[in-house]
Amino acid sequence: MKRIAALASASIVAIAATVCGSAAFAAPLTFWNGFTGPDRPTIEALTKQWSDAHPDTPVQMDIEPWDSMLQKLQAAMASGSGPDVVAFNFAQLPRYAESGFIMDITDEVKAGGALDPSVWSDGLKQVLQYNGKYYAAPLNFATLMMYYNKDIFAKAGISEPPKTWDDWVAAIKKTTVTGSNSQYGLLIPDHETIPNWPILLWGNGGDVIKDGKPYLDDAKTVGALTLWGDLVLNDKITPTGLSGADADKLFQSGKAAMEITGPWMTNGFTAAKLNYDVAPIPTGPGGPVTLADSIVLVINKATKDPKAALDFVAMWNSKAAQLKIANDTGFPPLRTDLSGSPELTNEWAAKFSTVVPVSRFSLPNQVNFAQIDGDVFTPMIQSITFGKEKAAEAAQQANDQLSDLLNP
Amino acid sequence: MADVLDGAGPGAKPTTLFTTVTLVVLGLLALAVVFPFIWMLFTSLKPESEIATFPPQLLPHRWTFENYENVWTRIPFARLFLNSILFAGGVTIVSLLLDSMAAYALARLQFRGRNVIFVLILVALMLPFQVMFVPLFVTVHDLHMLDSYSGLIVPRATNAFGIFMLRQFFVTLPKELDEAARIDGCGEFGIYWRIILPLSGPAIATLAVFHFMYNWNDFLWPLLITSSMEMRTLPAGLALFVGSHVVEYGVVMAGAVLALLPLLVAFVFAQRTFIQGIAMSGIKG
Amino acid sequence: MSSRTARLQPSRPWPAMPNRTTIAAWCFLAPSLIVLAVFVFWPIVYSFDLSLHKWKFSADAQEWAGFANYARMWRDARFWNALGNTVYYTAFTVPLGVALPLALALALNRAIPFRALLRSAFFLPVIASFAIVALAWRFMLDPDIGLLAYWLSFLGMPHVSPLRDPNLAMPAVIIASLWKNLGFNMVIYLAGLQAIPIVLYEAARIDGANSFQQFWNVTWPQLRTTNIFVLVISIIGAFQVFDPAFVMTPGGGPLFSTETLVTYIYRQGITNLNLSYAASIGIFLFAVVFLLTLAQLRITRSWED
Repeated sequence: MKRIAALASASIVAIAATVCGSAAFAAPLTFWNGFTGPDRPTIEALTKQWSDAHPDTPVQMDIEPWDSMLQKLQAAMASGSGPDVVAFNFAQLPRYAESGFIMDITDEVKAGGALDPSVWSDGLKQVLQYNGKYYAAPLNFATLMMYYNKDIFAKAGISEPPKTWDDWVAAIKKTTVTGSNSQYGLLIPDHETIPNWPILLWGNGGDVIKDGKPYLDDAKTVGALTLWGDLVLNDKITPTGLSGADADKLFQSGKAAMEITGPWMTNGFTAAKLNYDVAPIPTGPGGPVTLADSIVLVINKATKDPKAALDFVAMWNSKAAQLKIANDTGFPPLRTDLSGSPELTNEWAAKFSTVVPVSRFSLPNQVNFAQIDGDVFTPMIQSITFGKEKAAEAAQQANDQLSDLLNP
Repeated sequence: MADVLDGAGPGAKPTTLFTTVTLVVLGLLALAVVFPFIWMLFTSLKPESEIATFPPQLLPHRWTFENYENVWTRIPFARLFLNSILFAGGVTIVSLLLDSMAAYALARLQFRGRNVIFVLILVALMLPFQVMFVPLFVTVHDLHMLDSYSGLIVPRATNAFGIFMLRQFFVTLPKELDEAARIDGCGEFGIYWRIILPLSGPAIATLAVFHFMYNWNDFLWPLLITSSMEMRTLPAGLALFVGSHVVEYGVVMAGAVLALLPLLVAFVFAQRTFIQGIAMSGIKG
Repeated sequence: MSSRTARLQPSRPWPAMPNRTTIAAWCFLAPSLIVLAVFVFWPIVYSFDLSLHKWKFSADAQEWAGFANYARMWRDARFWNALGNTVYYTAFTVPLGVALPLALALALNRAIPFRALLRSAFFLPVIASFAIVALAWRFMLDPDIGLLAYWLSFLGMPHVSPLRDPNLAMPAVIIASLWKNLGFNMVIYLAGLQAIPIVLYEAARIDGANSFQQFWNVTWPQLRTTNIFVLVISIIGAFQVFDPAFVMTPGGGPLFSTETLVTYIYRQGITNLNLSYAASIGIFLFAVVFLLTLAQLRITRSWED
């Protein structure tokens, strides 16, 4: 077996040498991420640009779906073979920070440096830290807006997108058609999706966790769950049990008036010649709010070249990199000093950056994010929207489960 | 269904009516079974904007090969295809050899501890991969085989499913064969190689298709073991068109159609060993 | 059955073998056993060890927990739900997944027109990647924009969404799984049918056996070892069902109605990073499958082959 291994590794070195030329003899920096799909070319281009400028430490990138990358990362970290730099969703950060596998970069985050916190929004600053220390730098930033189908609005006599919850609910009901030729007012996916429900809770002044305590049994939270639960269950404003991908397909087919999602859908909807636009999510009693999301970069504590790794991580925060990401993909730049910049030429990036000031991260700094979201929150929502339990009961039960899962 | 139960024996000549009824039933069933592939094929020939529409259409409005061009240009298709052949082909050849050797011992040789070994091999099928993958990853890492062909192939060099399957086929062959060969001075390896293997054509061909297909389609294992595009296989490459928020259905379906073709060819070839009456024709009781 | 056919039955008692045979046997087995030891048995032992620890995703040493993880299963409603769903899935897919392929194999082993084409058609789902055909299924079954739902609506079918309905999701997963695997067992049965010596049928016909008698007296007993194989493998596979549930209804399905033991293991071990608890459920599953398999081998007297 050893001989086979030796033989195979010899041939791989030979292949690598021919493929990469002299680069095979430099010490590469390994970088794992999950930017499959349309984001890939931008990420590849920026990485290649950095490699070209740093021939001694070219970046060897592994792009694969987030699911399998995270599965591999767990085993790789445990066996000491993890990559130098990893990108993952902010929600993963607390667990990795707590595990002791990733580097504390607090000393590098300083005004005037390459990682200047003064250009990050407060929410972003919060999720990059764990227990008061910085463990990550951001790679990108996304906000959600309300997509609406202009043709459906026009047919229903709605001249402009609703601004308040009252107008919103009226517009949703008006554009919902039940029966054989069904049409949905607002698609609300409940699993395998960018979170939608927390926005509805926040809009009413409710929350999942507040000041470190479960907040699902709060009257405003229950109020939001009751209002929207009724709209789903009784008014059939959305199919129940919808995944994020199901919702996108449905909106693209023109069978839904509104959907809440991020900037990534604009290309597909435009290509499908859908007559649509985006608007801020209507303001509820709790004030204007939307969801923020971010992919962050962390450095393996075991990296052999922390300096190069830090340099590479900081590159993503540069104005040039952020402008390229924004203009290529329509994501708002994570630097607040680029908001409204004339160099921001992508109209969608400009639109999505207008709601950055009211954007919030869901469940920031929670070590048990996955359990809270998948084992408590999603089941609660499904229980309500499938009509299995009343909102108040389901919320109370979920609230009890939450207490065991919050950070100590 | 009486017709279906009507013995598989050669020469059993059912009436024309029975054959016609069977054929119609099987044909309709086959059409239903194949339908998703028809959908996939036509979807792969649609522009992305025509895929999620209402009312849904089976046929493209505008026929296009752009999805196939995308598969070719946006991922290193040739390299991925080659790696898939090396990985799936390598595992198939090595595993067929090791599986059949182990199966021969279990089916044709009487030795102490045989039943224990038999059960032990079945035990290898009983713990799900989702539990084993961390220790497995650590083992492959400790052997310095990550991101290499050996790391992909060696852990799959034998397969308990294959051993069990071949063992069940080998035990049905008449014992007289071995005895006669032994009297003729044939060694154990000779009996295995020159008598048992040639008589097990359909079983070997079936297992070959299973091994090749399973590894050709396997998505998770190559992703876990490799971490560079040079070592990736086709399913891992196609996964690049499935984003965390956006799925390019047309391109994925085009890639799936292309990935299916080699397997279909392999099956059609393997099928030839199923031509009735070949098995055992050389042996007369 | 004639004495002529009886002579070919492989049920002769074993002749006494010299010790040389034992050496040969171990030589044949050694390569496989070494690979299995390193890449299967060692990970199983490691997993069992994991299940006895209070595992934390951390660079620090892991704390011993004894059987606490097993005790936790007892109180975990999601575990019992997953076990129930797994048994439900097994109860339907195993009998149907054995009987239908056998019927197909018998039909397609005869000289009927388009035989090769039909075999390929039934085998097509087997060779496709489930992750990708699931994308197609989910698209076609979409109650609003799916082709199947659209066509069925012309026949007056009600507006149902099988994959989003807690009561229909598991049946949909079972049907998708049968669709996917029908051809697999069919091919194994075809290979089994091919291994039956033609002389047995010739002898039976000389004895005047009709088609049904030929099936009952020749085909069925000759398929015995194939049947054992298909049944044992189907049960082992059904208890470890992952792909159909995971790709058709990601996230456990509506109200966890399609969460099986292995998708729950995935959730605990990989999503929640609770590796020890996942390992203990895995070891429980292992024990169940082991006992079932041992019972089957004993009942079918496979030792004596």
